[in-house]
Amino acid sequence: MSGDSRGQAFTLEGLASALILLGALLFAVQSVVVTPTSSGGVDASTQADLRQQADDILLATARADRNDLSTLVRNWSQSSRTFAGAVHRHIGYGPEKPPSTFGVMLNQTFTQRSYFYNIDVVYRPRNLSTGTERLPFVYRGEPSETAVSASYTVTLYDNQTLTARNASRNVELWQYDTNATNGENGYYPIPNAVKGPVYNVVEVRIVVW
Amino acid sequence: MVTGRHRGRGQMILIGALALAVLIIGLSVVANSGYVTDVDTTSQVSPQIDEAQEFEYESNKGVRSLILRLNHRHRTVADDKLGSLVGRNVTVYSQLLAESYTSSHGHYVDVTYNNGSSEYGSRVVQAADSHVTDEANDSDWYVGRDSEYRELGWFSMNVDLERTGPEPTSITVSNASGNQVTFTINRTDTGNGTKLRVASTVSHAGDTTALCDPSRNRVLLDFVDGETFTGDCTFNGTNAVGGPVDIEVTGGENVIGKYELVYNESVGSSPYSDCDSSPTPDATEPCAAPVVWEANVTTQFAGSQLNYTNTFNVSVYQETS
Repeated sequence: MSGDSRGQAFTLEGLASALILLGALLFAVQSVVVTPTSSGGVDASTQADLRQQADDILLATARADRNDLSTLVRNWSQSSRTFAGAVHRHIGYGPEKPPSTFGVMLNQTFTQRSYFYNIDVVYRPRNLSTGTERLPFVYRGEPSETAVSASYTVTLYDNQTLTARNASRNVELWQYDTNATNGENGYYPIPNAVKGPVYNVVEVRIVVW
Repeated sequence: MVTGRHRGRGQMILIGALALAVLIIGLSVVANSGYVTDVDTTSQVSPQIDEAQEFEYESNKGVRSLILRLNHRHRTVADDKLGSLVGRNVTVYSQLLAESYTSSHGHYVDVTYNNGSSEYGSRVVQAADSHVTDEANDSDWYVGRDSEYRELGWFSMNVDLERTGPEPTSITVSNASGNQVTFTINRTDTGNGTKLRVASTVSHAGDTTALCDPSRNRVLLDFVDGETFTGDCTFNGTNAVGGPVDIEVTGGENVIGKYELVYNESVGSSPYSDCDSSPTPDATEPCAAPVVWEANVTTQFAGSQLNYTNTFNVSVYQETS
């Protein structure tokens, strides 16, 4: 009987050590997939998730009844010469939360989960052959190598107005000056790119890492 | 003391456990890599589907907004000129979209307006301030013809409050079933200043009355949705009456303003001329101009994994989700 007991004890020890080993290995294997790397990069599945989340935020905002993407792009302050309520013209809202539900969604989806993001408004210049230009909407630093991007295209029209609280509702987009140093007629940097009712086609681009 | 037989059994179980552990780890690695590969593979296709859906939605919305603006921009253009104007502007819009999609997503997109397959409607417009009377200055008249019912897509009036009188002007919108909504508008002086009173009576629903504040002495009314364009004044709109309608004006000499309305087709023997007729009707008189009521559009999306061409109709005056 004592021989049997010792045999069973060996076996149980063996099983216990195997389980510990197994648990440790499984933990290590799973950790490789889900943990962000020390450089701030993210694995492929997390990248896909972040891209999808950024896409969803843009889509939801673009189709919102109030404060949609077009409204946010036109939320321009004449006095600070950047987006209304923004920190500085070079970093836009920077570390602050952008306005409206758009900012709430970005905050809950990325900031609260320790992800960073930049947002640019990319627009066509008057001379289309010179490529695109951009306005920083939110700048929070240099993206990592594994950053992902999502964008949404928004059309602006000549007869739309700026949406900042103190902006005149009687001045249409085409009436603004795009020259910041002159600005006698008010300043809005996105130009009237083409003739006709379309003013410009801009792209709201989010980069997340 | 453990006998050789017992030790052998114990070692067999231990080896079995170790083998099981290796098997589980192996399976978990395979399953894990399969999962990662699966996510990675789908992530290549999924964004293109999302981008294609976004393109469809935005191009539909963009073409609708663009044509709406072109319809109401000119007063004296004929059908063919309006068609080529819309075609040119949609091409410019398409080029801007293509540039944007190429630079951001690496996809080619295109939007083409098909004038031959599009449907035209009729816009009745009085472009300058005057009484709401017909060409012969009759105050009681039909904007169109009595009992000649048409789909109504747009009905706005920009009222000059200062020159509008306290006597009411009535506008009755009726459908073939006898349902109707009557708008009675007049100027009224209140303790909070002069306002435009808009009473709206729906035959099968009830009454609403709104006092609308002017902006620079003007009130811009949207009779279809039943609100001012600033959104601070609401009343029952023509949406309360379904289907094709006719529109009767009574006491049109009491109100001064500009107005526009859009039917899905022109009205025979109307009490106004075509805007492009010669001599051109005065801007203070109503006249009829063509509009694109439903635009036939072809969109093309060409990505690395998704290619399609789609032709569909864009309803310019009825917003589709």
